[in-house]
Parts: sequence; structure tokens; C-alpha cells
Amino acid sequence: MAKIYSKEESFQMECVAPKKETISLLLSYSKALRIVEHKNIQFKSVLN
Amino acid sequence: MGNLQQDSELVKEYIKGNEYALEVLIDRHNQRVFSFIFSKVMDKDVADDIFQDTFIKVINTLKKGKYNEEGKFLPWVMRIAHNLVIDHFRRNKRMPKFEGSDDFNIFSVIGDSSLNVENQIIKDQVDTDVRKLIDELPDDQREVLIMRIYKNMSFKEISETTGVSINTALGRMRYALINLRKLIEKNNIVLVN
Repeated sequence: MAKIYSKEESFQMECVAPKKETISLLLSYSKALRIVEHKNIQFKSVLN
Repeated sequence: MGNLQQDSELVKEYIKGNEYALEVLIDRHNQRVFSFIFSKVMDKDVADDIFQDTFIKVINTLKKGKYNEEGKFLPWVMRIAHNLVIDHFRRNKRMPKFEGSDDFNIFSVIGDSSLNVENQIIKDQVDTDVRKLIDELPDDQREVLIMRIYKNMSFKEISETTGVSINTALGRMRYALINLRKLIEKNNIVLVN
């Protein structure tokens, strides 16, 4: 029975999408972010 | 909503407060943006970080009402990603980062490979002791071990040279190492440098 001793090519170009957690974080961040303007000054707040 | 709407319309919707519009935009473009970043940094975790930072900037700019490139949403996002990739490489140039992996040890990079005189003497002594121990091994095991360790031959080459199967060569190597350990324990030898 032949065995292959060489390592498989570990690098693959298949990972072309970000993690689901990353996208989920971005959507949550967007929902939590509030920009309030007062006298030409912008205040950024992230509400958890 | 979804694919029928143009990016520019979705951006307007989002600025008005429709959070779902952002979800559609990210869903539509995430692969393209991520692939671009990944093709530059070649590290999935770093690419994820830069992707995240890119859209954080996008969100901040849109929510602040500073976006004025109507109709060119994707090129704008790609430009932000591109700039962040450049920032990443600039930062790493100033502070090179080495990460360990199964095949790579950080200490082989940052360690001082040059030995001082004392360590060189110890190393020579250890090398001599190891060679003496190897001489104690049975001929077939010694032959395989020398070819593998000292001549850096693959097991395929060893099997071809010695005329035994690869599995036999592997077995001999295994027993050679087991016997070496036994010899070291038996003789109370300390092999460190």
C-alpha cells in the first residue's frame, strides 16, 4: 500500500469571506452607533 | 430590497436610518473586499481585522453624513481597504511581527545563533557524545539514522539506497531513537547545551 509522505499544500485561496462574527459585529456596531451634532461639533456614542 | 437596489440607493437608505441597507451592502460586497485584503496580507486573521476596520470607517463616515461619492460605493470602500492595508504594512515595517506556527519557531529568529566559547565547547562535547552513542546502535538502525539526520535524506531516498521499504526504514529510525534514549538513560548522560 503506497503512502504519501509529502505534506499537503496547506495554503489555499478558498478563504475569500470574512468571519460571520466579524459581519455580525459590524452590524451590531452600526446599530449601536449614534452621532449627535451640537453647535457644529459631532459627538459619537456607542450604546450597548 | 436586496439585489434590485443600487448601492447608491442603499447608501441613502442607510443614512436615513435603515440598518438593513447596510446588511445588504455588506452581504453584496464582503467577498470582494475581503479577497482584495487577503490577496495583499495573505493572513486570514489580519484580513479579518482590516476588513472590520474598513467597514467601521465606512459606517462612521456614512453616519456622520460625510459621504459624498454617490454611485461609487464599492470603489470608495476598496480605497479605504487599500489605505488600511498600506497602514498595516507600514506598522509592521516599523515593528516586524513574527508569529509561531507548527513549522516555525519564533526563537529560531530572535535567538542568538552564535555560540560563545563555552557553549561551543559544550556543543562539541554533546556532538561527540551523540556520535559515540550512535556507534552503539545496531548497523541497520545506525545506517538509517545517519542518512536521515546527518545526510538529510528523505525516507524515500533511504529506502531506495538501502533496498528496504519506506515502512521498514521508518521502523528502523523509530527503534534507533528508542535505543538512543535507552542508552542515554543507562549511561546517565546529560545532553544539553
